[in-house]
Amino acid sequence: MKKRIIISVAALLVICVLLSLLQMLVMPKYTDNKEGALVSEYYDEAGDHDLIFVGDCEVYESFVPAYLWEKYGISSYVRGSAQQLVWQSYYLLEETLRYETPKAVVFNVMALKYGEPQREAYNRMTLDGMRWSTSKVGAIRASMTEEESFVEYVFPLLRFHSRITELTPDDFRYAFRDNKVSHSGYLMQTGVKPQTDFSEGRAEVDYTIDENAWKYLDMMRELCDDKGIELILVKAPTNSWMYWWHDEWEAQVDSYAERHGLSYYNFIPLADEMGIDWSTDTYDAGAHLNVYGAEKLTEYFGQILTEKHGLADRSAEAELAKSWDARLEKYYEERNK
Amino acid sequence: MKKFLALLLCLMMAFCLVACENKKNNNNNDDDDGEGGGASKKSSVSFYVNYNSVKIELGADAKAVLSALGTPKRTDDQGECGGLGRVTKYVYASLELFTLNNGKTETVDGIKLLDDAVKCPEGVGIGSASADVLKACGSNPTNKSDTGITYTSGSKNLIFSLRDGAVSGIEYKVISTKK
Repeated sequence: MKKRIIISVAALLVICVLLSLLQMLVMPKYTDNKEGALVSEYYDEAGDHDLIFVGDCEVYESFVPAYLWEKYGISSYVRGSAQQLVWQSYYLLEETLRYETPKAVVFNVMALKYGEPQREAYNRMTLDGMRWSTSKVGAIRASMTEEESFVEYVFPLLRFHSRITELTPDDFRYAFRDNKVSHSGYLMQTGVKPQTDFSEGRAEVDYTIDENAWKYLDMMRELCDDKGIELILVKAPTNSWMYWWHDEWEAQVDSYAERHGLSYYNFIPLADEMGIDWSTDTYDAGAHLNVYGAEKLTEYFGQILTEKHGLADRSAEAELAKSWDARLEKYYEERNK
Repeated sequence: MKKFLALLLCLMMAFCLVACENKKNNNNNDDDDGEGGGASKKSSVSFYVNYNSVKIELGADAKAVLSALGTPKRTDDQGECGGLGRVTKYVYASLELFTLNNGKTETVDGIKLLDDAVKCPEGVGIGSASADVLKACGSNPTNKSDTGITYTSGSKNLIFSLRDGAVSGIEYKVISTKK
């Protein structure tokens, strides 16, 4: 009888291990769409940041922590992901605060345009990379579209098992180790594709920012208040017809910031002042900045953070400086390749 | 023992298949042309325009439409974040056509009218009075304010922008929301 129980348990364990291995193999590795690998990279560098950025592509393509350190000695990290929705930013921030308590949090307001879950593919890019915690559970519950189920996030094998027939060498290469793609959350783009079309964006059905988006921004603000963290709102300087920032949204965000005493920087009208050249500083015709544009914005914002928000120059701290020197070296290695 | 293991494996396979079946069902729902968007999101307006004798309909295969329209004045394309698709804008004399390419298909994602040379099938165009829009397209739009009137059916939208009581812009647009 005892022998049978032992065999049964062993058999179960073997099955579990095999299924886990299979799951690791079929999970998307995001070697082409690198944005999907961003969220999980944070844990290796978690801690000792004075500034955390949260938001969508407009944070991970616009703000360069390595450059911010080099120019101002500000230690920062970008917890951005593709089409990161407000509730995802909230839960990512909540999770981040388990690891560290920064002095300030910067949230890019573009995601406020969405009041409800959008696409599973984007959800996966943000949620699969999070470590399990109540924050991840909350993020999944807030993010799921109708076609998704919670159990598929707990056991991604259920969702991705069909990939078994389309595995690539990268699936084997990165099954057990991460493919590091970012520089402290910044996803580098060195290409240049000038913006030639400066026409306005497409119309919206309703320009009223959804209550659900406000709800999570309120939660983010209250979370920061509770921890004594300053919440700063920004809008990246990019404004292409594809990702157009409407005046109606601007007025609502402006009013929210004023009502709650938050600093809000809309960098769109400041692009000229910071020296952004749309013929050289974007890699995709104006939708996002490339590294040259991102450095200009980072330098401009760094000065504001230093002068108006009291973020200190910590370059004299030997341990921290050593850690950032290593990150800077990797940053310039890719930038100047 | 062997029976137990066989049963366990069967259960797991069934579990996986159930997951697949759910996904298939949901995909089928996605493919229903967006018309199943709920009773509150039905509209009697037409989601197409005729331009140079070419019928351009939201959600239609873009290839045939583009071929029939001929060479545009210019094009511009921008990728969706995360490399999930590309939206291309084709500019013609009186309208802009937006297509969405998801890597497998390219469909008509939007139509923006640029002047009153093109009218909606309901007979209204840029410059029409807002009262005429309500008369032609129905008095119960999905959204109505001083600055716009919108008619929605599933994921398809017809958006009239208003200024001083008259139509200043018209756009047909696919917006997929899946909650």
